[in-house]
Amino acid sequence: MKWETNLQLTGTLFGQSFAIRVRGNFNYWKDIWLNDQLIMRLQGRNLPERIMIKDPAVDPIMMNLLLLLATSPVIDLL
Amino acid sequence: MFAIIRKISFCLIVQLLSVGLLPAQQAVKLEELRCYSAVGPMLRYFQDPALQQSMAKELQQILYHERGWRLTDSISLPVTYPNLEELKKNKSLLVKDTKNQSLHLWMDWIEVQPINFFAAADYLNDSVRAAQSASVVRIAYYLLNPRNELIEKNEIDISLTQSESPSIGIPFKGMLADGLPYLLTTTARGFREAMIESLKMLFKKDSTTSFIEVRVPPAYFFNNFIEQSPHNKHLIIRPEVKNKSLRFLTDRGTQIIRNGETEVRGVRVGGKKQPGFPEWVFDSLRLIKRVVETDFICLQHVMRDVLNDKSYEVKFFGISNESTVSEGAFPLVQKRMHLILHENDTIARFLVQAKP
Repeated sequence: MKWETNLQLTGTLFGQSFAIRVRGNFNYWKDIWLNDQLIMRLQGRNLPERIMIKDPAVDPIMMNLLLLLATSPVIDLL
Repeated sequence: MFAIIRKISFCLIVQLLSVGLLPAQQAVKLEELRCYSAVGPMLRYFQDPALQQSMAKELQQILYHERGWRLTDSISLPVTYPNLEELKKNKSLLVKDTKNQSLHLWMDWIEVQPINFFAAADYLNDSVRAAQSASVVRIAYYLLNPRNELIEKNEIDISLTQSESPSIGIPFKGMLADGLPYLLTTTARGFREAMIESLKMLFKKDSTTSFIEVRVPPAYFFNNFIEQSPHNKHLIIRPEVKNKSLRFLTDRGTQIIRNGETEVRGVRVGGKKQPGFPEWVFDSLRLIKRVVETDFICLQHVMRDVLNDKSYEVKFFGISNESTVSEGAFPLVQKRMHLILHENDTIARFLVQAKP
């Protein structure tokens, strides 16, 4: 099954490239990429019900910041 | 002197072997491990070389521990996948190398639908148990001596029931492309653990157990079917939500994060630059305004990383004109200029695209 990306945030954070891809009904899936590596996948409508950490080596401050951005209430307004 | 010691040691070992204090290592050659499933792709986990090697090692240890047998090849398994027609034919077990004193082992691993298994097994015809079972695996083995005589056979039925799991994704049911119904009962790790427990029961000396239930973690579509390393699993966490804060535990300790309420601000009000925006933002927006006569607003909120004591501010820039106001929607500026500030420093710039 392929879910199309509804919304994509791409840019740089502390000089590193990142992408947040939002997919599924009600923005249910969010994939978080850092330097072209999938590092986290979130499941849940507004606040995540589950977080899959694919790469636990990522700095927690960076990880938390990406999580905050991925769960921003603005995304649900778009 | 040395020769006498060697002789005594040899006699001692022979005596210990004869009274059973030291297990004699009987070599066993695993000739074939046939796998067939009427349920789904679970037995294809054996195609992962890492899992196969790990299972071969476990089988070696179980055979040695339970029986004192030693597998001639403890690195790989001779797995085959016969189709149903081939499986129905009575397979002739033939020892080719009769000169060698090794025993010869054949194994069948067959996965069936619980409803069929429990309906056929009179002594287990239990609808509740059948409903709880996700699939049933029958493992049978046949052991032949070098003279091609069947000296031992046994089988065990394993009902796999799915446990509660903090996994992620949607259940792996009927997801494959060929249109046939499939169910992947468990993850590679769950399969490995369940099969190890079952093999211990199967090869236990004088075991009378013919049926066991094993709880396994369910497989989800997002989990890789053939994992590179079956022993490694991703960290899947269920955050606790309290007062719009997310609290969760990772390898690096507890984390608490919270997004603030979104507020809308003007970027320029009455022609005046509003405070709190980096200067380059006004330059970028001025360039857009030269092309399209419009105004801009900022959707912003605070982001708080509580235990690391970090506060950030995220700002999304939207277009505000008559049509967007009447529709109540503020399309974002399609430019890499949305940003995150930390203590007035721009630490992130990004672009937001719908349906990229």
